[in-house]
Amino acid sequence: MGKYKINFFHYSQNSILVNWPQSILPEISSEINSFCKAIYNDENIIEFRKGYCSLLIQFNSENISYNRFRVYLINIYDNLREIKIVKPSVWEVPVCYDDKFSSDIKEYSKKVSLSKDEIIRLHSSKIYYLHMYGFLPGFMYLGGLDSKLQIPRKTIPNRRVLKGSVAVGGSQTGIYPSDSPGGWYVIGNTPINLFDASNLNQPVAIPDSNYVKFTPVSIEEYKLIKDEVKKSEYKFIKREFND
Amino acid sequence: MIEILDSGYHITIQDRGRFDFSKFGVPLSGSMDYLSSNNANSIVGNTINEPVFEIAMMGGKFLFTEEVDICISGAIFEVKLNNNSIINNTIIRVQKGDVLNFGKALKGFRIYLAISGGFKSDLILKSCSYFDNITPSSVVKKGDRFNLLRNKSKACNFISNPELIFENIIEVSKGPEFNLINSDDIKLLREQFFTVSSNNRMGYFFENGLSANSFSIITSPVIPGTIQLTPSGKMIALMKDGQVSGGYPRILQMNYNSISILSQKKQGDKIRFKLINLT
Repeated sequence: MGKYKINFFHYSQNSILVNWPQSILPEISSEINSFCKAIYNDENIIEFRKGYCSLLIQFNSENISYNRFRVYLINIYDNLREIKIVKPSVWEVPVCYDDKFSSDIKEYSKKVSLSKDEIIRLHSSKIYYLHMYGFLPGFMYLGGLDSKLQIPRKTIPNRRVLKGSVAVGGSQTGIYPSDSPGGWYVIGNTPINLFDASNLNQPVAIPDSNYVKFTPVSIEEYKLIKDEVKKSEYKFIKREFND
Repeated sequence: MIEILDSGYHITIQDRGRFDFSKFGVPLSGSMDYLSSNNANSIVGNTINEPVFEIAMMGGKFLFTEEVDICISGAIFEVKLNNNSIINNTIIRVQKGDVLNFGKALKGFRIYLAISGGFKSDLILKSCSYFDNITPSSVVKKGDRFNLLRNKSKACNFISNPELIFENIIEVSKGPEFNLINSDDIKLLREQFFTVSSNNRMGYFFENGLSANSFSIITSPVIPGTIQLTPSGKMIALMKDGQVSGGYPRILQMNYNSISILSQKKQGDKIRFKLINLT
């Protein structure tokens, strides 16, 4: 049986929104994942989209009515077991915090009243839970940013943030998987690729519900890793997650 | 074969989109106005998932190196096959060496070109729909060539009234955060016309809006047709290339037909919302 009080909202002609308590917690994300796995093979489901604490499910409204589908989901939730398919890992993501890549660090450093070294230490010492993907193909929503590093995102977004940029905004940190506009403060860059559209089964490098840790690298190491990535020789460093 | 002689303002290839990849942050994509792409495909005997060319605003020149049946549907453009004007929603046989030339949109914004039997376009993440960083290019370019597939036609009948897309009433149901907005703003939503300020395949933006606010929500899922309320009070209607999640309140949700209707609007066009209940 599910642990929380969930509610349902008729979102569109053929979609239903399932809301968990509105807070960002790995336990809630993990239960949403279990719920997704329980319904994954249902023939009436077209697609689902995950939020931190909600799930939007598109169903085949020609086969099943909204009300019947809602009752079906309640049943699934009432009989939900925690499903842990794989033990989560901690994936190390190399980040170069050199001035060359940290275009916003001076401004950010003033705003959080911390030195650059202190920012790097705080940012790279935590492990972050990968709640879900969203925003852009391969963009990770990472939870667990140190409260000292949390400030509101920029009021005027940058028109172009470079691929690989490691940035902080609000209570979150993340990596831009491709060039894009963005409103977060850029403090570094990773040489690794996070999204590969040619990989049909697993286009993202890191599966969700895992943990991410940022490992500071020098500009020389950055270049070496970039070369390895180019030659498809780069191997992720990951270790088992222990609570 | 089809060769692109002129890539116009914005031409892409679209099918029904990329299902089941939103879990990796990948937008749905697919024809903005699915009613018209369905019409074009149905009329030439294709299934509705057959890729079509989506041509926005103006321009585009297609050379056919062999005989084939085609159909155009959607916005009314100035369109010429060689030197002769052609019309929407009818089968047109093109001959070897014919040039199909799109001028300006006269009414509406997006027109679809379907080729009987289909044409070859790479399937990436189970869809041919163009999207930046997924497909090698985000638009069709001059010199691009597409081989005809000549798939056996299948009976398919998804034909809708071609005038429907020129309506200006957008049917919406209440979004999950509808209750955040006050009664004055609800009155505005029900009664006012909203003017399109800009648009692309990701979203439609409006000149006028509701009152400014400081609402925000925990990043939550959205789908094409979700209308978000930004802090300035302006609304964003998310379209087919829209992101899969967002942090602005989701105040309204368009239905399928309304997404098609809005897709045919351009800067300066006015629309009105009609609140409906989902059944």
